Amino acid sequence: MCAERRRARAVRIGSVIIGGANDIAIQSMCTANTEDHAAVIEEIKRLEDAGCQIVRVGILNANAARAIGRIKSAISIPLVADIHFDHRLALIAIEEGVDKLRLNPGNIKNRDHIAAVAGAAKKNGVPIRIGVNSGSAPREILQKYGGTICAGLLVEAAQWEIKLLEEMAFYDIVISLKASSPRATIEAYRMMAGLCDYPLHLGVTEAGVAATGEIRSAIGIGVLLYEGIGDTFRVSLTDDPVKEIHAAKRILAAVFTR
Amino acid sequence: MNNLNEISGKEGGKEILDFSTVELCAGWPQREEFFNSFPGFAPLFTYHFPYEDGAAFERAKRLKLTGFQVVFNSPEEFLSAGRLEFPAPRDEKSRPAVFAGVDFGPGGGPELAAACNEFLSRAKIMYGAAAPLAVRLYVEPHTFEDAGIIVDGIYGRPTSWQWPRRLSICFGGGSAAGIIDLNRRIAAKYPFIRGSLHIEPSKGLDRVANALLFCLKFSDPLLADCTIAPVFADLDLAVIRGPHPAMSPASGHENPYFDTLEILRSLEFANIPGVFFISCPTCSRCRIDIISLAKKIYERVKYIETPIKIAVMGCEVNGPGEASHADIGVAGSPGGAVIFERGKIVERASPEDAEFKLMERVARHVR
Repeated sequence: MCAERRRARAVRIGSVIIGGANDIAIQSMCTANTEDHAAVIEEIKRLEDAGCQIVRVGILNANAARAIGRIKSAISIPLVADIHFDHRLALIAIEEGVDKLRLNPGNIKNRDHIAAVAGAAKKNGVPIRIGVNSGSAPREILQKYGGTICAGLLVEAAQWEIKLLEEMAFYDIVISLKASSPRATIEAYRMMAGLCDYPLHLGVTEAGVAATGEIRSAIGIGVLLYEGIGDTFRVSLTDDPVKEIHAAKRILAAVFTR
Repeated sequence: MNNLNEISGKEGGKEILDFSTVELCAGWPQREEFFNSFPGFAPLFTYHFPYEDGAAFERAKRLKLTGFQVVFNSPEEFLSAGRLEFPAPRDEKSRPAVFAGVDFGPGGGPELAAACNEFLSRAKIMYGAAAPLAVRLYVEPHTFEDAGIIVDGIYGRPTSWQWPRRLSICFGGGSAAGIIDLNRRIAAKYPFIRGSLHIEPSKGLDRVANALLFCLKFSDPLLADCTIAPVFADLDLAVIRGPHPAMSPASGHENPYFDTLEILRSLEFANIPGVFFISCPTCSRCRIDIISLAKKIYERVKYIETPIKIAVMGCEVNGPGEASHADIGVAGSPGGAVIFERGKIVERASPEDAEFKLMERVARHVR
C-alpha cells in the first residue's frame, strides 16, 4: 500500500465495526424480493457461506419492512435496510431490529420525518449510510454542474445530505458516493476523504455484468484501498450476488497481498 | 492518465491512450478473434509471440503489427536460436518496433545481475556491437534490494560497454500492488531507468488484479514512461512456471484481449472503441429480470467497435438518471420498461420486447 490508512471514525453495524483500524468489510445486496423472506434468507445464507460480512435488502413497502425481524433471526451477519422516500418504512425497520439503514434524508424531505428517523436510529444505535449515486443526484445540484456527473457534484450532494442529519445531532453516519464512471468515483471519494472523518463505503455503481463490473470495481475500489481510503465496499455485478463476494475477495487480495 | 487529479472525473477532457505503452500476451485463437472483431484497431497494440511459434515474424508482418516482442523462455534459448532478422527501430527516439524478451526467472540480486551481464556479453558477440537490437530482460528478484543490485550491476558498467542500445527490464512477481510498489520504488531510486521499465506479472493474474495493475500504473507519474502487459491466468488451473503460461492457447481467460480492452475502456481513455456497458446489480425493487436482460444485451453488444454507452437499469430510482447519461438505455418502470435515447424517453416497452427495441436503436447508432 502506498499510503497510511485513513483513520475514519468507528461505526458499529450490528456485530461488525467499520472505520478506524478495523478490517475492511465486504458486503452485498439481495436480489430476492424482501417480502419473500424464505428466498431472502436462502440467498443471505449463500452469501454468508461465500464470506459476505454485511448484507443489504431493499424495502419497498411495510410488508417488506416487517419481514426484517424474521430475516434477522435466521441469519448471522448484520442486515441493512435500503429505504427511499418513505420515512415510516425506516421506523418499522428500526423496530424490527435492523442493524443499519441506507437512507438519504434528502429524499425524505419533511424535516419532522427526518427528525423522527434520526431520533429512532440514535436511540437504537442504528447507523445510517448516506448513499449518493450518479443515477439519482438531486436535481438542483445536478443543474449547478450543468448536468454533468463529476466528483464535485457527488461530494456536494453528499455534504447536503450529511448536513440534514447533522442538524438533528446525528453523527453515526457512513458515506458512499458512487458513480458509474470509475474516475469520477475515485475522485469523489478522495475529495470526501479529505473533508470529513466518516467511514466510507466504496463502490462503482451500475458496473455491468461480471465481465465489466469486476474490472470497473477493481479500478474504482482497488485504487482507493491502495491509497488507504475506504472502510467497507460492495462490488455491483448484474449477476448472482455470490459472485460479488468472490470479486471482492480478489480485490482485497490484489491490493493487500505482496 | 498521468495524474487522475487532472481529469477530475469530468466527462470532457478525457485522456488519450498511447497504444505503444500497452503490450498484449496470450495465444492465437483469442488473438485472431480479437483481430477479426476490431480490425481497424487491433494492430495498434504491441504483441508478444513465443519464439517457438516459428511463424511469429510472418504473422506479425501479415497482421501489419506496429510492434511485437519475441519471447525467449531462457537466455539459452535466445543464444541457441542464432542470429534472427529483427527489424530495426525507426529512430533513436521512438520505441523499438520489436523486442527480444528473455526470461531469467526468479533469483537473488547478484546471481541475476551476473546472469544478465553474461547473457548480454554473449548476445553482443552473436549479433555484433552495431546491431540495433532491442532486448528486454525478465527477472524476478526476491526483494527490492535484489532489484537494486541488478540495476546497479547492469547499468553501473562503463557506458562504452553498454549493449544493446535499447534495454528494457521487467521486474515481475508478486501481486498487482506488489509489482507496482516494487516498480515505483525502482523508478523513484533510479530515475534514468523509468523509460526502460516494463510492468508485467510473471504469473498470471485474474482480471481484477490486472485491472488494478493497469489503473495504478496509469495513475502514477513515476510510472508514466513504463510499458505494461497484462498476463491472465485461468482461475481454475494452477499457473505453472515454464513456457510463458499466457502464451499457450489452453491458458487464460475467455478472451484476455477483450478483458484488456475493457480495462482500458474502464480507465476512460477517449480513444478506446466499443461499448461502455452499464447495468444495475438488481435488487428487490426491480420489476423485470434485469440479470437475464443485461446479459443478453451485453453478449450482443460486446463486439461493437463504435464507442457508445449503453445502460440497462432495473427501476426508477437510478434508472432514468443513468439511462439518460447513456447514448441508449432501458430502465424498468411500473408499466414494464422505458427506452431512452440521448437523455430522452423515446418509447415504452414490455419486459418481453425491451431487448428487441433497445437493440433496434443500438443498430441505428452503429450504422
